[in-house]
Amino acid sequence: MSTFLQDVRYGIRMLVKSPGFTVFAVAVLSLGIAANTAIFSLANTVLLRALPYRDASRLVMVWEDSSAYGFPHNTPSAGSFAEWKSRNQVFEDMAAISFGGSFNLTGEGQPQELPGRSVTANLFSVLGITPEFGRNFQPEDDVPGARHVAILSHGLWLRQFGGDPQILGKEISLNYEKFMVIGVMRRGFQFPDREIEIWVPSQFTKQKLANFGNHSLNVVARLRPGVSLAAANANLATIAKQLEREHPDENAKVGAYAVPLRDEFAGATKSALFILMGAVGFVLLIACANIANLLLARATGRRRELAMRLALGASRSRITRQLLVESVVLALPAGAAGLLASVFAADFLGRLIPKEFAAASGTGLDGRVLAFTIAISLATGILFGIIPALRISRIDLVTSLKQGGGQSGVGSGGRRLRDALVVCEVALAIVLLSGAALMIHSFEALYHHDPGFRADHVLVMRTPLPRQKYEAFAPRVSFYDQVLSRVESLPGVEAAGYTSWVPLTNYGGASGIQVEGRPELDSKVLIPNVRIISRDYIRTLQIKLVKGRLIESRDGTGTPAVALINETMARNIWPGEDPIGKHFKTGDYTDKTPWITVVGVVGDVHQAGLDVPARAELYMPYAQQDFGFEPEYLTVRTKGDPMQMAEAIRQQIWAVDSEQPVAGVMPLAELVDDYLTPRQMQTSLLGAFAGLALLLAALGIYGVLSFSVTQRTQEIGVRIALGARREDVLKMILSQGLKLFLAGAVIGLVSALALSRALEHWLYGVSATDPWSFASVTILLAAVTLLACYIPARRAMRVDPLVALRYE
Amino acid sequence: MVDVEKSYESGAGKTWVLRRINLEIGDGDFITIMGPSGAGKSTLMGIIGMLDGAWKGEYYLLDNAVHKLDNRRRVELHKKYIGFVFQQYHLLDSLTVAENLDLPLSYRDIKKSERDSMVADVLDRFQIVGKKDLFPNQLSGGQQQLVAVARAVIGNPKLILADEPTGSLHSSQGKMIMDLLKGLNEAGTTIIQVTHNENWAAYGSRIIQLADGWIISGQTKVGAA
Repeated sequence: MSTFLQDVRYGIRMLVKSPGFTVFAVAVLSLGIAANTAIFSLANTVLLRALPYRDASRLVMVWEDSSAYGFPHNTPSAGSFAEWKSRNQVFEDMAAISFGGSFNLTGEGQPQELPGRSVTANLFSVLGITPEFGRNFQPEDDVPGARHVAILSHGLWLRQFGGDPQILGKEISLNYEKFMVIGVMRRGFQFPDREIEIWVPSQFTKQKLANFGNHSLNVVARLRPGVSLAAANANLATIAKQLEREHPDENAKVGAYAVPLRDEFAGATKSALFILMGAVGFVLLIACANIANLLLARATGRRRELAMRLALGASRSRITRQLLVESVVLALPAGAAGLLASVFAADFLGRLIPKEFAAASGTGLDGRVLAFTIAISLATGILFGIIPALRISRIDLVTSLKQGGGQSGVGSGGRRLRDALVVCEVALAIVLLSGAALMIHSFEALYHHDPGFRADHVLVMRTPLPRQKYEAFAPRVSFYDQVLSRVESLPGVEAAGYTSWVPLTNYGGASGIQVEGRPELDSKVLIPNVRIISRDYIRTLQIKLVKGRLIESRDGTGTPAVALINETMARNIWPGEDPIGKHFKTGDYTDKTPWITVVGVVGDVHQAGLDVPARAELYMPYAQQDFGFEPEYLTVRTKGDPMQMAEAIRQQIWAVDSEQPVAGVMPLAELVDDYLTPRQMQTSLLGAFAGLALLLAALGIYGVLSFSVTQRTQEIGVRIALGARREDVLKMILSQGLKLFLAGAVIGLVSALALSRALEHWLYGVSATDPWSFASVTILLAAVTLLACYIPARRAMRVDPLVALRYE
Repeated sequence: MVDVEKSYESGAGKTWVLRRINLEIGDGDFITIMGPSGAGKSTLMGIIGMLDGAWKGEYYLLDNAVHKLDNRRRVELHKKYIGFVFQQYHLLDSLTVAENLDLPLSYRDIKKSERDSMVADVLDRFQIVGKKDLFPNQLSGGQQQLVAVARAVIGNPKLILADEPTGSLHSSQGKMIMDLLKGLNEAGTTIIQVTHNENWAAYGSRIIQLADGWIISGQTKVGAA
């Protein structure tokens, strides 16, 4: 132990003695370790940290697999939920949550819309959570007709009710019905995501629980102890087959499967994290190669000292240990600096965390992140220290003592090793730069891609009409008509329209259709998305009219049903024909449901994501029939800043119904930005890490050549004495650097081509083997390499042969 | 050389390295430069060999006014007429004997095939064909200096500058090298050597004594040993 401490003391002293080297090495390592710690802290939150539910690893979400109809991840029907719950042998319990939803809170100041969920009474017991105070839902709360009760989020209780300790038993008005508050959840609790503020029992009726046609639930279940996910999926598949036999109309080709809750929450972030972890791993490897190279170069100056130690009786293993201790001593302050930097980066990185993860958990420091940083610092110290340590400890004692601290360094083997390390750095940098270039090109393509609508100068808000107040169709139509009429007349408003969903919030509703004259077409396969809109919605979003006409004022209540379809639907159903004037309907082919006439074809809109291809879609005017999808999004195109109009528009809505909450007021452009932000962040991060890799690789090449010039001073002198011109010397050093670059570039490009497939899922509008991306990074790195070579090469050109030849 | 001088500025003012060097060396001479350390011997060799450009005065090499030439022309002149032999041999460790011999040729516009034949000739002439693929560290000191002399003559220089060519060799090896230089001189090559050894100095036809940058004697004619 005392010798170990002596090694540590000696290591610290060595570092203090060479402050320039120490500062440089610590800075380079800090960058590598900080990047790793920051991304690990993100991965810790999303992939490792326990979800705040009891025994969360046993929680799964259950989905319907309707791949045959284009919905592989479909929200289950209440019928499916009821049958899965009663027939399965693998789940301890299963609960259902309404998919989406909100409650209008009135009678508590300004009316407001609260994001909330109707849930089965057992939801919190499935999650293993009890309220902070009050009681959980009981089975009797979930019976249709039972007294309405509600549980509040901690945030809502504090914000809306001032943390009232007497809240239990208080009646509040939700959607114009009285609900008694029976509990307040614990601070930080959230399910299914952090926006939800209120939960009420579903009170499913028997009819609802026998309905397989309406897919509007999320289902969460707890696996029995010891039951694997595969076993659960096998059991679900068996039940799905049974349901297919028993209810062929609704359940033909419909499967079921479970996904661990964590995977469900992590979603696409999981693969993004793996890519980022790979990237920071590469950065750290490059940093290690850099420092290993520096240590090898420093070894030249320490040859005599180490030879002396060997001569005085130190074993080679002792020398190796001492050198390794020095490396680790170098890595630990870098680890501390890295940890600090990653704490500062936490807020920025927090934006990458999906909203399903507890806001309170953040990306902050915890024991696991701390342990990771210590472990990675130690591993880094050993990684960059081990090769130089082994190499140096093998020095030739006699020669070293005779030559002193001469120029011969650690021999040609050492030179080859240094070259190999630089080749590795270049290869790693090429891989990382290629990945970043692909992502940047992809992001550019996405950013400039026409989404099918114009988001600028459009304000969006939601006015969901509660069924309790607007049960009948006519008052709803009247509300929308009045609001639109009032808003359109506001100065500064160019157009206004209602829609059931604005782009980027949802694919939209969906409905099977029958096509006139084509009874052979399977209505289950023809399931276009459906948007219920007002007359000017298409104009408000400036969606392109391709053919025919838009919805007009004449398409009102009691007039023949009309619809607009998008280009994809026109292509799919009437290929090579003019779809204008064609008819389709949503019911059975033979029933009396009226045919709907196609009056216009509009451009495809990327509804589900800018990089998600458009599906077949139809738009129908809200006034013609009660389709079941409420047009609750109001969109307003303004002449100036849309947010400046928000209050005026709100007043017009309240002039129609003073109790109507207005929620989600934001510019449509912000929705587009929100959609792009995670991808932009991933691209920026990857770009930043690639930039770091480029810098480190350039430093590596510079370091090796710089050292080489010092080492070859005498040789350069000899060459000049033998007739070499200064240009010959410049060429020689540049070609030495370029040879290293070329070797690294070839290895890097081959590896990058192989690894780019991992990015395929993330790429849009650019192929994973895009030659321009690979060529551009190669040229960039070549240019940086030339610059890095040029500085030492210039120094080599200036070597004075007379001085060099006297150089010992 | 006419009034050649070299100095450099230091904190203490101008420091002279060479003062008023007036020296004429004839074609086929074998000159020995002697003097204590710091006398300016190597500096004078550097100027004669055109490795040093920062000096004053006039220097004519075979009717070429070196002092009027730019660096590029000096390098060309150097490549055409001068060969170097150093005390520490200065063979490149990473190159084989044959590659070391090829090195000065590679800096001239000579085709590879022609260079190969010149290298083969020299290997033969110096009887080191068997060693052509060995690296310098596989040779003795004498053998290394033999290769270094071979490298100096491979371009058929008119002038060989040998800076203490035997300084790192024991006497028998030293004699071998000096005999070799003498033979080259007799074949017509002008030789200028720097040495501290009286015996090796005697190989030359004339000794120039330097001290503190001045030529203190240079007219004495000495017979061959």
